[in-house]
Amino acid sequence: MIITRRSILSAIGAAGAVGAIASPAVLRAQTARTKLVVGTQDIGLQETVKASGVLEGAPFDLQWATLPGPAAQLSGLYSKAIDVGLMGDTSLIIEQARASGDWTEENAPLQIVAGWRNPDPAFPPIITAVRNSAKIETLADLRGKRWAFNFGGFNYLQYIASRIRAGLKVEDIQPVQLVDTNAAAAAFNSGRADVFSGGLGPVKSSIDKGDARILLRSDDLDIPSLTVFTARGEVIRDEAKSAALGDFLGRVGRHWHWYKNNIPAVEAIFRERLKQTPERAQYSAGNGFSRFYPLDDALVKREQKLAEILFEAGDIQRRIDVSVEFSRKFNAATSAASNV
Amino acid sequence: MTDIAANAPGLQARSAPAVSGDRPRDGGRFALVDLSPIAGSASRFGHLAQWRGRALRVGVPLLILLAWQLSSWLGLVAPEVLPPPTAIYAAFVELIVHGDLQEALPVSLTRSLVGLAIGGTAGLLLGLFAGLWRTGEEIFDAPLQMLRTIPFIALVPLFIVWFGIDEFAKIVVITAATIFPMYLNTYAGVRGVDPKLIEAARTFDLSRSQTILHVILPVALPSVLVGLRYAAGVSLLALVVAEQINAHSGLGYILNVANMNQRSDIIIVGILVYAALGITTDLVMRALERLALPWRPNIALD
Amino acid sequence: MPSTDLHILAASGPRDAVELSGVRRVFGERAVLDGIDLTIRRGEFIAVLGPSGTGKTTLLRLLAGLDKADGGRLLVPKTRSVVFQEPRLIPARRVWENVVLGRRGAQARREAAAALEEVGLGAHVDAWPRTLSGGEAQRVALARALVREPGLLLLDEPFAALDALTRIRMHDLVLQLWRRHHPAVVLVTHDVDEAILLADRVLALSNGSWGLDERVEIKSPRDRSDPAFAALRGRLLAELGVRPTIAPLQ
Repeated sequence: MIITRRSILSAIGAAGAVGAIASPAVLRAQTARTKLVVGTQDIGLQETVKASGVLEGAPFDLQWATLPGPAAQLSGLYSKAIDVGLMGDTSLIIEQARASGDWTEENAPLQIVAGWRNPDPAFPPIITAVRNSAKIETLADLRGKRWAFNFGGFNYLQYIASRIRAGLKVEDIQPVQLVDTNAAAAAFNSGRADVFSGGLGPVKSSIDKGDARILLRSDDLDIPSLTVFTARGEVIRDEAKSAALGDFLGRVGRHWHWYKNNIPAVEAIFRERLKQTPERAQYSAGNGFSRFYPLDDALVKREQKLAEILFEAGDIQRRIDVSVEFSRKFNAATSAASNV
Repeated sequence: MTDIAANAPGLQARSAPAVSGDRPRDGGRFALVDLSPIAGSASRFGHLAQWRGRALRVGVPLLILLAWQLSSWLGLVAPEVLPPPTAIYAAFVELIVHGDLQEALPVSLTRSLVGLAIGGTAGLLLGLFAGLWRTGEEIFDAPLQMLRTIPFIALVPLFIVWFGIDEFAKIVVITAATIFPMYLNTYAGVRGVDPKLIEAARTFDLSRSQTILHVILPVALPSVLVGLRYAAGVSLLALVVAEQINAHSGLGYILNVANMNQRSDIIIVGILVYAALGITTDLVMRALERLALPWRPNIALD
Repeated sequence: MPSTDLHILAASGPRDAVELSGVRRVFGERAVLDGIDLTIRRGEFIAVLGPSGTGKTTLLRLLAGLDKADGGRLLVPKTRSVVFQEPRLIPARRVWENVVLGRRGAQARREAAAALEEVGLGAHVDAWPRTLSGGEAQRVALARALVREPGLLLLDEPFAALDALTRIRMHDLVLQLWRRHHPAVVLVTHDVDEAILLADRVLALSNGSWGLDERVEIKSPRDRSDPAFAALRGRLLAELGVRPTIAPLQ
């Protein structure tokens, strides 16, 4: 299939049609240097890393790929179009549970190689918010309310864990499952839903205006809510690629030092490149500051609990051991970067 | 024939002149209505109508814009729900100042045109094949009908697995979207050729290929052009899906980013750009039709 | 079944253009042509009369090669042309291209122009078919039929859709062209006057076989007011089972 694709590609290229718009990175691929293709869901991280200058002098070639949504990231990984993908820390729980056999340290097709989040509790990665008009004072008041969320990832876990914390079953609320967190946020912001579980950013305007407030943070529910890089098993085992990956992760870690000291530049990136409103860009810039967290036993234990929740809720069909989803090979590189 | 004659009112009146006087209502039948043009007034009225038409054409959109802006100023509509025209204009300026639109248009139009060229050609050939040969119809019709119902937006992950994340995958999305409208219209055009014309060609000993070349293709051409017009529109719409796959610029990319960041003002700018492209496409296609179909009357109903 | 095929005639009798014997054509249970025989001499003009459904058009389609007989023997000239009731012009092709359909180039255009000149449409060589009147379009169809110099010209009610004045002009034109090119002609019509005006011989089908086959002996130019014309018309109508019943208004 790859041969066919290449031959078709070259045919089109020969027609001169695509040649004009092919990305320069493709043309650079001629060299013998190791190439690392890293997928992200938007260009935010790409732009701040580029702007920080940490990539200067990198001994490998880095190619970014923008693929919105965890499904596209996973497709990119499985098809080997990308080496590393960006997603939430729970995505692999569902992937492993869907696989026909158990993953092992040797055969796991994908492993998490690094995880990060904002260390400041003022920037909770995910929240459950309620509209003031819904008159929800206590967790028990969630009963019977319209609750917007999207399936997959830690947004969904925030919804289930919040519901379980409130002691409610699915039948006790009106679930409004939408395609992604933006759609769920739109339903919440426009008052079509009373409760929202997901990222704070998309509903922040409602909270700032005083129409809504945060009811539960992910920390309240012991959800680690790390954003992670997931790499293909072959990439981790390949000596050259894994060296490049370790180097790359170190540079990403160092870029947050630049980030912290250059918030106005970061804001400009969110405003100009991601087309965010000034208020949203200000929040995004503050929120985006992160540090790596080690992939250790404590984390694995918390993640294992999430897998149990998903199993109890019937969203995964079998019990799995999540420890195999975490490669600890790059802990040294990420912690060194965090301690600079 | 004789039945009709017996019922004809003229004959009846002639055969029974005595009764006509008993029916005063009949007088109404012959009352005169003046249809002659009255000098001066018609043209003056025409002038008025023309000016009123122009005023309406310009005035109504202006009034709508004004009402839109006012409703926002008065706080009747929240800007997140519907940004006012001034905000949309500001978003447009923002996209121009940062060079986003200037960068997006050539990139997106090239993608659309390449996809349209490939998909349009494939649809044309398949449509001809299925239209001219029953075997072709049996082979291709069902798969192409299925292609029509594919929800491309849901297939982005699968497209990545199949076609990668480079330019190729984006072109494939647009190609796949444009094949069907071209196929369907070509097929319908070929099947719609009056069989009497094909029969006439047969009586003049035209071979099959001559019949196709001289009779079927020229007569089916208007329908093919309808397909092309439709496919051109689809190729622009498909950008929104195609540019979810590792795009760095483009119209669809701008819309996707705006969507992710709740920028409804930018989304509306995107819609307006689409509208402008739609009008441009239409003008180009009209010119193309005039060139390719000189034999068709330019029907305009006004 | 070789006998049911249409045979291209090298002329069996040296002076014959068409030779049919025992030709059958069956639709479902009904034999529309039930073993008919017909010989047409070269250059002979025959008219086939009769109301709809008697098999006139079926016969014409068999002669044109557009339909296959179920039995019998058919010999016809290699070059045949048909003028249908509708002009059947390709709207996407100019008038001259319609005349020499399938051919291109300067030579083809010259031939088309000459044929159009003959039917009085020399000025419309480059026109589009939709700009023509019904009579003009039908003249183009005539030019298209004659440009091939057919041995057999088949006319399938070609004037039925035209107005009365145009029809009279077309009758003259067809006679002129026939005298100049001299093909054998089969005119299918339901108009008795038209048949008498144009044909050497008038035939009518009835129940799948010839109900009438009469030579028209009236001298040319034929005139409807000629008593011989009226007499023949009366006889033909009577044979077709129609009696003139419309009395003049008092």
